[in-house]
Amino acid sequence: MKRVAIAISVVGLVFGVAILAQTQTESVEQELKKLEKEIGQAWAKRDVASYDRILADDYTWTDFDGIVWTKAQDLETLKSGEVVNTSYVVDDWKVRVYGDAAVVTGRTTVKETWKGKDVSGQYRYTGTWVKRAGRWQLVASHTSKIAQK
Amino acid sequence: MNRIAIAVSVVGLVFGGVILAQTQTESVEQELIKLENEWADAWAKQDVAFFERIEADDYTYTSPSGEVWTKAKDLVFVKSLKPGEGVHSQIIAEMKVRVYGDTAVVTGHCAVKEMYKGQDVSGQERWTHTWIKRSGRWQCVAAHSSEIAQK
Repeated sequence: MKRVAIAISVVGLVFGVAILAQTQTESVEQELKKLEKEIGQAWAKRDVASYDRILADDYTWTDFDGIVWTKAQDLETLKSGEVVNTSYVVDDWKVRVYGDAAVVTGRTTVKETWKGKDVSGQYRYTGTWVKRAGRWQLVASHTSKIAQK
Repeated sequence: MNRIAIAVSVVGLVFGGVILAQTQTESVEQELIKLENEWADAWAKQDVAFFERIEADDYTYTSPSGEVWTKAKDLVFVKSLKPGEGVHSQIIAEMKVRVYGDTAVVTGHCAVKEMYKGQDVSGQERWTHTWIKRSGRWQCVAAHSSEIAQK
Protein backbone atom coordinates (compact mmCIF):
# COMPACT_ATOMS: atom_id res chain seq x y z
CA MET A 1 0.00 0.00 0.00
CA LYS A 2 2.84 2.30 0.94
CA ARG A 3 4.55 1.65 -2.38
CA VAL A 4 1.38 2.49 -4.29
CA ALA A 5 1.11 5.75 -2.36
CA ILE A 6 4.72 6.62 -3.15
CA ALA A 7 4.27 5.68 -6.81
CA ILE A 8 1.17 7.87 -7.07
CA SER A 9 3.00 10.75 -5.41
CA VAL A 10 5.93 10.45 -7.79
CA VAL A 11 3.67 10.31 -10.85
CA GLY A 12 1.75 13.29 -9.48
CA LEU A 13 4.95 15.23 -8.96
CA VAL A 14 6.24 14.48 -12.46
CA PHE A 15 2.94 15.55 -14.01
CA GLY A 16 2.86 18.63 -11.80
CA VAL A 17 6.35 19.69 -12.90
CA ALA A 18 5.53 18.97 -16.56
CA ILE A 19 2.37 21.07 -16.36
CA LEU A 20 4.26 23.84 -14.59
CA ALA A 21 6.99 23.84 -17.26
CA GLN A 22 4.36 23.88 -19.99
CA THR A 23 2.50 26.74 -18.31
CA GLN A 24 5.72 28.71 -17.96
CA THR A 25 6.57 28.24 -21.64
CA GLU A 26 3.07 29.43 -22.51
CA SER A 27 3.40 32.47 -20.27
CA VAL A 28 6.77 33.32 -21.87
CA GLU A 29 5.03 33.05 -25.24
CA GLN A 30 2.33 35.46 -24.10
CA GLU A 31 4.90 37.84 -22.67
CA LEU A 32 7.01 37.89 -25.84
CA LYS A 33 3.93 38.29 -28.00
CA LYS A 34 2.98 41.33 -25.91
CA LEU A 35 6.50 42.80 -26.15
CA GLU A 36 6.62 42.31 -29.92
CA LYS A 37 3.25 44.02 -30.20
CA GLU A 38 4.70 46.92 -28.21
CA ILE A 39 7.60 47.14 -30.64
CA GLY A 40 5.17 47.30 -33.55
CA GLN A 41 3.17 49.99 -31.79
CA ALA A 42 6.33 51.90 -30.85
CA TRP A 43 7.06 52.38 -34.56
CA ALA A 44 3.48 53.42 -35.28
CA LYS A 45 3.40 55.87 -32.35
CA ARG A 46 7.08 56.90 -32.20
CA ASP A 47 7.16 55.59 -28.63
CA VAL A 48 10.86 55.94 -27.84
CA ALA A 49 10.56 54.99 -24.14
CA SER A 50 9.00 51.56 -24.81
CA TYR A 51 11.48 50.83 -27.55
CA ASP A 52 14.40 51.84 -25.35
CA ARG A 53 13.17 49.54 -22.57
CA ILE A 54 12.61 46.49 -24.76
CA LEU A 55 15.89 46.57 -26.70
CA ALA A 56 19.04 45.37 -24.92
CA ASP A 57 21.93 47.84 -24.95
CA ASP A 58 23.96 45.55 -27.21
CA TYR A 59 21.04 45.00 -29.57
CA THR A 60 21.75 44.64 -33.28
CA TRP A 61 19.34 44.62 -36.15
CA THR A 62 20.44 43.36 -39.56
CA ASP A 63 18.20 44.66 -42.29
CA PHE A 64 17.26 43.13 -45.66
CA ASP A 65 20.16 44.95 -47.40
CA GLY A 66 22.67 43.53 -44.95
CA ILE A 67 23.17 46.72 -42.99
CA VAL A 68 23.72 46.30 -39.25
CA TRP A 69 22.04 48.80 -36.95
CA THR A 70 22.92 49.36 -33.31
CA LYS A 71 20.36 50.25 -30.66
CA ALA A 72 21.46 53.90 -30.75
CA GLN A 73 21.05 54.08 -34.54
CA ASP A 74 17.69 52.35 -34.41
CA LEU A 75 16.43 54.73 -31.70
CA GLU A 76 17.67 57.65 -33.80
CA THR A 77 15.62 56.41 -36.77
CA LEU A 78 12.57 56.02 -34.56
CA LYS A 79 12.96 59.53 -33.11
CA SER A 80 13.57 61.12 -36.50
CA GLY A 81 10.13 60.23 -37.79
CA GLU A 82 11.71 58.99 -41.05
CA VAL A 83 9.62 55.87 -40.76
CA VAL A 84 5.89 56.34 -41.18
CA ASN A 85 4.01 53.16 -40.43
CA THR A 86 0.31 52.86 -41.13
CA SER A 87 -0.16 49.10 -40.78
CA TYR A 88 1.76 46.25 -39.15
CA VAL A 89 0.34 42.73 -39.15
CA VAL A 90 2.23 39.67 -37.87
CA ASP A 91 1.42 36.10 -38.81
CA ASP A 92 3.09 32.66 -38.84
CA TRP A 93 4.42 33.62 -35.43
CA LYS A 94 6.49 30.91 -33.72
CA VAL A 95 8.39 30.97 -30.47
CA ARG A 96 10.95 28.55 -29.11
CA VAL A 97 11.92 28.90 -25.46
CA TYR A 98 15.33 27.77 -24.14
CA GLY A 99 15.28 28.66 -20.46
CA ASP A 100 16.27 32.31 -20.24
CA ALA A 101 16.49 32.69 -24.00
CA ALA A 102 13.93 32.52 -26.76
CA VAL A 103 13.85 32.68 -30.53
CA VAL A 104 10.87 34.16 -32.30
CA THR A 105 10.22 33.88 -36.02
CA GLY A 106 7.41 35.50 -37.91
CA ARG A 107 6.15 37.15 -41.03
CA THR A 108 5.07 40.77 -41.13
CA THR A 109 2.97 42.61 -43.64
CA VAL A 110 3.64 46.31 -43.38
CA LYS A 111 2.48 49.52 -44.96
CA GLU A 112 5.31 51.90 -44.42
CA THR A 113 7.42 54.66 -45.86
CA TRP A 114 11.05 55.27 -44.97
CA LYS A 115 12.48 58.67 -45.88
CA GLY A 116 9.47 59.12 -48.15
CA LYS A 117 10.11 55.88 -50.01
CA ASP A 118 7.43 53.19 -49.95
CA VAL A 119 8.91 50.11 -48.27
CA SER A 120 5.59 48.29 -47.88
CA GLY A 121 5.67 44.57 -48.32
CA GLN A 122 6.09 41.25 -46.60
CA TYR A 123 9.06 40.48 -44.40
CA ARG A 124 10.41 37.52 -42.47
CA TYR A 125 12.18 38.12 -39.21
CA THR A 126 14.06 36.25 -36.51
CA GLY A 127 14.28 37.77 -33.04
CA THR A 128 16.50 36.54 -30.21
CA TRP A 129 15.35 37.35 -26.69
CA VAL A 130 17.25 37.01 -23.43
CA LYS A 131 15.85 37.21 -19.92
CA ARG A 132 18.08 39.04 -17.46
CA ALA A 133 17.17 40.28 -13.98
CA GLY A 134 13.64 38.99 -14.56
CA ARG A 135 13.15 40.99 -17.73
CA TRP A 136 13.01 39.91 -21.37
CA GLN A 137 14.96 42.04 -23.81
CA LEU A 138 15.56 41.73 -27.52
CA VAL A 139 19.29 41.22 -28.21
CA ALA A 140 19.24 40.60 -31.95
CA SER A 141 16.88 40.70 -34.86
CA HIS A 142 17.26 40.07 -38.54
CA THR A 143 14.89 40.81 -41.39
CA SER A 144 14.52 39.59 -44.98
CA LYS A 145 12.18 40.97 -47.56
CA ILE A 146 10.04 38.21 -49.04
CA ALA A 147 10.71 37.98 -52.77
CA GLN A 148 7.60 38.67 -54.82
CA LYS A 149 6.82 35.97 -57.34
CA MET B 1 43.82 42.36 11.65
CA ASN B 2 41.07 39.82 11.26
CA ARG B 3 38.91 42.30 9.42
CA ILE B 4 41.68 43.19 7.01
CA ALA B 5 42.25 39.52 6.29
CA ILE B 6 38.56 39.05 5.58
CA ALA B 7 38.44 42.17 3.41
CA VAL B 8 41.47 41.02 1.40
CA SER B 9 39.93 37.57 0.97
CA VAL B 10 36.63 39.03 -0.22
CA VAL B 11 38.37 41.33 -2.71
CA GLY B 12 40.48 38.41 -3.90
CA LEU B 13 37.42 36.24 -4.33
CA VAL B 14 35.55 38.92 -6.27
CA PHE B 15 38.51 39.50 -8.59
CA GLY B 16 38.97 35.78 -9.02
CA GLY B 17 35.31 35.40 -9.91
CA VAL B 18 35.45 38.26 -12.42
CA ILE B 19 38.57 36.87 -14.09
CA LEU B 20 37.01 33.40 -14.23
CA ALA B 21 33.81 34.75 -15.80
CA GLN B 22 35.88 36.76 -18.30
CA THR B 23 37.99 33.75 -19.19
CA GLN B 24 34.89 31.61 -19.68
CA THR B 25 33.32 34.20 -21.98
CA GLU B 26 36.54 34.32 -23.99
CA SER B 27 36.69 30.56 -24.31
CA VAL B 28 33.04 30.45 -25.42
CA GLU B 29 33.89 33.11 -27.99
CA GLN B 30 36.81 31.06 -29.28
CA GLU B 31 34.71 27.91 -29.39
CA LEU B 32 31.91 29.56 -31.36
CA ILE B 33 34.30 31.25 -33.81
CA LYS B 34 35.86 27.86 -34.42
CA LEU B 35 32.44 26.26 -34.97
CA GLU B 36 31.45 29.05 -37.35
CA ASN B 37 34.61 28.56 -39.41
CA GLU B 38 34.13 24.79 -39.46
CA TRP B 39 30.52 25.25 -40.50
CA ALA B 40 31.55 27.54 -43.36
CA ASP B 41 34.01 24.87 -44.53
CA ALA B 42 31.41 22.12 -44.13
CA TRP B 43 29.45 23.74 -46.97
CA ALA B 44 32.37 23.45 -49.36
CA LYS B 45 33.02 19.88 -48.20
CA GLN B 46 29.32 18.96 -48.35
CA ASP B 47 29.85 17.44 -44.93
CA VAL B 48 26.33 16.26 -44.04
CA ALA B 49 27.40 14.79 -40.68
CA PHE B 50 28.66 18.20 -39.57
CA PHE B 51 25.31 19.84 -40.37
CA GLU B 52 23.53 17.05 -38.52
CA ARG B 53 25.64 17.79 -35.45
CA ILE B 54 25.72 21.60 -35.49
CA GLU B 55 22.08 22.32 -36.27
CA ALA B 56 19.62 21.80 -33.41
CA ASP B 57 16.60 19.64 -34.28
CA ASP B 58 14.35 22.71 -34.21
CA TYR B 59 16.84 24.80 -36.23
CA THR B 60 15.46 27.33 -38.69
CA TYR B 61 17.28 29.24 -41.39
CA THR B 62 15.69 32.27 -43.00
CA SER B 63 17.16 33.08 -46.39
CA PRO B 64 17.75 36.54 -47.93
CA SER B 65 14.55 36.10 -49.95
CA GLY B 66 12.53 35.23 -46.86
CA GLU B 67 12.28 31.47 -47.23
CA VAL B 68 12.31 29.46 -44.00
CA TRP B 69 14.31 26.24 -44.01
CA THR B 70 14.11 23.52 -41.37
CA LYS B 71 17.01 21.28 -40.43
CA ALA B 72 15.45 18.42 -42.44
CA LYS B 73 15.17 20.59 -45.54
CA ASP B 74 18.75 21.79 -45.10
CA LEU B 75 20.07 18.22 -44.86
CA VAL B 76 18.12 17.10 -47.94
CA PHE B 77 19.54 20.07 -49.83
CA VAL B 78 23.16 19.37 -48.86
CA LYS B 79 22.77 15.68 -49.67
CA SER B 80 21.28 16.51 -53.08
CA LEU B 81 24.30 18.59 -54.16
CA LYS B 82 26.44 17.10 -56.88
CA PRO B 83 30.21 17.36 -56.61
CA GLY B 84 31.27 20.83 -57.74
CA GLU B 85 27.82 22.19 -57.14
CA GLY B 86 26.94 24.46 -54.25
CA VAL B 87 29.42 26.39 -52.16
CA HIS B 88 33.01 26.34 -53.45
CA SER B 89 34.42 28.55 -50.75
CA GLN B 90 33.16 30.68 -47.97
CA ILE B 91 35.19 33.33 -46.21
CA ILE B 92 33.71 34.66 -43.03
CA ALA B 93 34.78 37.88 -41.36
CA GLU B 94 33.80 40.55 -38.87
CA MET B 95 32.48 37.99 -36.42
CA LYS B 96 31.07 39.38 -33.22
CA VAL B 97 30.10 37.09 -30.40
CA ARG B 98 27.81 38.02 -27.55
CA VAL B 99 27.43 35.48 -24.77
CA TYR B 100 24.43 35.31 -22.42
CA GLY B 101 25.07 32.27 -20.25
CA ASP B 102 24.01 29.23 -22.27
CA THR B 103 22.90 31.41 -25.18
CA ALA B 104 25.07 33.26 -27.66
CA VAL B 105 24.50 35.44 -30.68
CA VAL B 106 27.11 35.60 -33.42
CA THR B 107 26.90 38.11 -36.24
CA GLY B 108 29.19 38.13 -39.22
CA HIS B 109 29.92 38.76 -42.85
CA CYS B 110 30.44 36.13 -45.47
CA ALA B 111 31.83 36.16 -48.99
CA VAL B 112 30.64 33.07 -50.75
CA LYS B 113 31.63 31.55 -54.09
CA GLU B 114 28.78 29.37 -55.14
CA MET B 115 27.43 27.61 -58.21
CA TYR B 116 23.88 26.41 -58.41
CA LYS B 117 22.36 24.62 -61.40
CA GLY B 118 25.19 25.87 -63.57
CA GLN B 119 24.80 29.48 -62.50
CA ASP B 120 27.20 31.58 -60.49
CA VAL B 121 25.27 32.68 -57.41
CA SER B 122 28.28 34.10 -55.53
CA GLY B 123 27.73 37.06 -53.27
CA GLN B 124 28.20 38.72 -49.94
CA GLU B 125 25.98 38.20 -46.97
CA ARG B 126 25.40 39.35 -43.43
CA TRP B 127 24.13 36.78 -41.01
CA THR B 128 22.92 36.34 -37.44
CA HIS B 129 23.28 32.99 -35.71
CA THR B 130 21.73 32.12 -32.35
CA TRP B 131 23.43 29.36 -30.40
CA ILE B 132 22.22 27.38 -27.37
CA LYS B 133 24.34 25.20 -25.14
CA ARG B 134 22.60 22.03 -24.03
CA SER B 135 24.21 19.00 -22.40
CA GLY B 136 27.59 20.70 -22.75
CA ARG B 137 27.28 21.19 -26.49
CA TRP B 138 26.67 24.31 -28.57
CA GLN B 139 24.13 24.02 -31.35
CA CYS B 140 22.70 26.62 -33.68
CA VAL B 141 18.96 27.09 -33.23
CA ALA B 142 18.38 29.93 -35.65
CA ALA B 143 20.20 31.45 -38.59
CA HIS B 144 19.17 34.37 -40.75
CA SER B 145 20.99 35.89 -43.74
CA SER B 146 20.68 39.00 -45.85
CA GLU B 147 22.37 39.56 -49.15
CA ILE B 148 24.41 42.75 -49.15
CA ALA B 149 23.03 45.06 -51.77
CA GLN B 150 25.58 45.63 -54.56
CA LYS B 151 26.07 49.26 -55.36
